[in-house]
Amino acid sequence: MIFLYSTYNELIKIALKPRSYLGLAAITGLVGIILFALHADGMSMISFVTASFEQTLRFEGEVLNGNLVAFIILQMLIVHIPLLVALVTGDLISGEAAMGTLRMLATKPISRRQLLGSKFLAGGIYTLLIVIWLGILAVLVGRWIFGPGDLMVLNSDGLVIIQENDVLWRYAGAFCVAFFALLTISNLSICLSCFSDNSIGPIVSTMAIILLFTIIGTLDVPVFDPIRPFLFTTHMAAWRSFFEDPMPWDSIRNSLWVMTLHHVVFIAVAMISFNRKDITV
Amino acid sequence: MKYLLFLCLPFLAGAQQADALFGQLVQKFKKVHHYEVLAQIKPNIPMIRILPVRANIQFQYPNSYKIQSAGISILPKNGFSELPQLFSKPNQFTVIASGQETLDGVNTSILTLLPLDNEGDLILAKIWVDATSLLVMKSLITSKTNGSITSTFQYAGEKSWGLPARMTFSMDVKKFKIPKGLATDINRTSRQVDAPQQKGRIEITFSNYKVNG
Repeated sequence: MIFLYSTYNELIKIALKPRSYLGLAAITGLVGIILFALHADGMSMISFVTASFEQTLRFEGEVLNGNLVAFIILQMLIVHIPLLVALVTGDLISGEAAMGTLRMLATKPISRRQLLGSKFLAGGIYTLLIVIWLGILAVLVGRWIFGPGDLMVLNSDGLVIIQENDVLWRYAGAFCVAFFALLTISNLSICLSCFSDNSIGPIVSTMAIILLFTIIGTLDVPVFDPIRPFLFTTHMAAWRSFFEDPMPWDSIRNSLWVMTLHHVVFIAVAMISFNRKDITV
Repeated sequence: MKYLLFLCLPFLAGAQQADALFGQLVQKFKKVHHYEVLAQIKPNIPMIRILPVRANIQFQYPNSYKIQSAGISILPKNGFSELPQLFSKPNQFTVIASGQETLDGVNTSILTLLPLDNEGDLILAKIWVDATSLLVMKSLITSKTNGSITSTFQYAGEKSWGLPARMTFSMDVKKFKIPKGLATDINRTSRQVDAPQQKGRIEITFSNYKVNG
């Protein structure tokens, strides 16, 4: 019970911090800009993608629709959301250490493990809220403005056109996987937060790790081939697999396993570090 | 001079026959003022995955098509509306008889249509015509911008109007390229950017024709 109270307290602390709304505001602004741009000149962007096919074929029907808009938004923003998540979750331990409230928190009748667990849970709930907000803006607002329709997705294998009645469950699955990927970021930043006594360090470190892993993942150099499958950044785009045909379930399962492994490692390292952390200084 | 004329006679006769056959086709085409038909479009194109789509197609003489589908459908850029265009402007082409060929057991006459105007997009059109029932069995449209597209036609109930029950288009898809950077699958490090040379097919099955109704 005390664990839940502690989680509730953590959520209140997150809600009272202005920076928590920065992520939601940034997503709202960015989605608004993308929606406006696509509404004003979306067809030219679509033509750029389909130009190669349109030399021989022509596409009939509403190609630029709410489902495609949601996909474009997801593709554009999912790369930047880790920063918005880390901005809040990276501060959960180190922020308290910097303000000196960690000592007071530890005097409560709650174990350090439970205290840290509640912070992980609160960070996860905040991440979930960010993903849900992105989902509402991308899918619901996108469909409201542009209307529903078949989804045309460009993969490295070619074009996949998914019928409208087959799209929404894919989005649900994609958002779940995207949430799981962002939860990795949340857990990483909380883990790093245990090692720091200032807010900026864990946030910057999280972004530096993401950048480093992304560069290693995208560099098509054979020397990185053995480690690439084990980097969490390699699997952060696993949500896209929901828009392939046939769906690569094995690849999705593999990505979830790798990300789960990262969750376990980050939480375990954080637990060990936080249990040993000297909070008296 | 007499001998020269004598030698040219078979060619002149052939040209007249080709003109006459094309003229008969044009007359048959003119009988259809408008029609509406349900179509099932089934593309089978390398690098494109799409399920068959149902569409409603409306035609208005001479060459206006309106296609309404519930979702996204794929049609060949050439070949679908070009044939009516050829038939609606018969004076803009030179018709050349190019021999005979048997297609699926049907003896057909091959007509080559060369545009008189060199500035247009169309380079040449070749049509295989069943002269006895005045039906186009196959066409090959070659244009400057879109290359060649072959269409084959199968007929059923609307034979008398010259309207097909099934059209199959085949086209070269070697030109399809996925723009780098747009298709970013992070999970895949090596990707095939250029498609190998393959043939794509689009099959359209027509049903519930409403002709001149």
